[in-house]
Amino acid sequence: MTTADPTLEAGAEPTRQWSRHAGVVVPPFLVFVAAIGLWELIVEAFDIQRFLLPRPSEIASLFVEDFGRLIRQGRNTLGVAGRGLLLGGGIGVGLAAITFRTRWMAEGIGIYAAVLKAVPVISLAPLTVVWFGIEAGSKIATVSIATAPILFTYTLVGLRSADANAQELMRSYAAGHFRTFWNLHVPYALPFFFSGLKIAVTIAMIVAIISEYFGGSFENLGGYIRNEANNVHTVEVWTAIVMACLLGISQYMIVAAIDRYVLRWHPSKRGN
Amino acid sequence: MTTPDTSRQAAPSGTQTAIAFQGVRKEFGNGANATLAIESVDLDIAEREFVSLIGPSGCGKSTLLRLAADLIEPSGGSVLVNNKTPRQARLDRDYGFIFQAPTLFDWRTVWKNVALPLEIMKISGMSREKKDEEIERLLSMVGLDGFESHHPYQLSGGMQQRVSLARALVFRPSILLMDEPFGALDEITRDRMNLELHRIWEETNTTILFVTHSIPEAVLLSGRVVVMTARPGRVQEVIPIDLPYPRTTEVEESTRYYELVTEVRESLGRAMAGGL
Repeated sequence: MTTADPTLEAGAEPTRQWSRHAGVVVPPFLVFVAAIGLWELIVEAFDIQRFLLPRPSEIASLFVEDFGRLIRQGRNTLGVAGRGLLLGGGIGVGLAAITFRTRWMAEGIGIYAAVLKAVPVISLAPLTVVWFGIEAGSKIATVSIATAPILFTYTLVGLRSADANAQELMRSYAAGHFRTFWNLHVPYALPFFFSGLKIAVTIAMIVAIISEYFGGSFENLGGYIRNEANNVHTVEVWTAIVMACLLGISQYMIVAAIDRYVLRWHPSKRGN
Repeated sequence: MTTPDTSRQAAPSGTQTAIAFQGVRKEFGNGANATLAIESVDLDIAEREFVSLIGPSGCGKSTLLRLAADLIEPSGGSVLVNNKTPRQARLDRDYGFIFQAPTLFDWRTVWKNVALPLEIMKISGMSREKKDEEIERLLSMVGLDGFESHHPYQLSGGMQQRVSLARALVFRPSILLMDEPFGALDEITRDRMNLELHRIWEETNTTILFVTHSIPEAVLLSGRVVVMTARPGRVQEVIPIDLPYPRTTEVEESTRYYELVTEVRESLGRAMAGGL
């Protein structure tokens, strides 16, 4: 009988794993360096004006110089995105958990979740300002509206994906609703939840920054971009964009890492 | 054409009845779309008995099993499990159900999969040490020592099904309901699992109701083989298997074994003809 021998699997040659990682990392890095180099050359060769397209080297040096302030502003934006995501995610996941057993309820809400996902939520930003004020509250609300339907939909599909036999197994044990939910439905929902979360963190960051364009404090990335753009301080705008990119990417990578760790039993994460 | 023998099949005398089907009927769907899955099934299964249900596809073998497990409810007649309604028997955790798919939880180790029923049932008067001992004993009974901390995906199909068997035995139900448990396994693994199951049945005091597609499997394992007709499912014939115990490879090679396999095959042939 051929059985998978885990001792063999666990030892899967580290050198080969390394070369595989290098294969993933090195080509994009080379493309990045080439693109930045080309950018620098083009600005030089065509003598492009600074306010239209500054040199990457100029952006980089201002980024280093302003790093302290950019981090502070980034933290404020991240705070808005994070709180909005927490609120929106809580509502989305909560509604999914409450309604997934009752088809008509889940579908009743599902339609509105689909509508909300189709609506460019950012168009609601001026309205939330009217309701929740010009400062963080309105921005958090907009982020919640954008992220709740995403997490609702993904979590709902996940909760419903629980294997039919496994559900009958729990029934045969006369397991209570909460037991079955926790021991069976939640593990089935997790991979879907994380897929939704990976999308939602990115959306949360985008919506937070754009919401900040609509007024309020300058002490955040969106406010800073708005202010500097009005004064045609293009290099400053670029440094904020770079910070926004870095924060967005690291946020995504943190979620992806948690996902990989929590779901290491899942077929999509086992490798080979 | 032979008429199906629907006379009440009494359990061997002198023992208690574990499962009793009386005039059981089951329809799926409503109105014009309703299909009759089983009709007027009378069958008694005694305590400690090993009974196989065999029949053409769609004869309602699994339906009978699921009725006993209270996973579905009969449209007519009555089902008693340990002299209780199936629902009460389920609440009392009187039976363990084994599916064709191992139905293990991928995120749990082998050990934790087997521990699952104990976690849920909070069996009183069973200390932690006692539970651990029991899990250990069962894992070694099904030949999985040393695999405690593996995850299901690291095991072969046969090993996964053995985990599922250990999980069903861990809370010591008096009845095992098995729905083609080895149907997805290759012939060699299946043969071994059959002999192991039989050994376990002899070691424990369980009643087994076993659904299968395989005639040799049914004959090798059972005290009685129940042959069912095609839809709607009825009991065509109950064939007592008078092979010596324990059932081993030698039994599998005896003349009597082949005679019985032939007898079940012929009965099944008549059941199919009746269904056409």
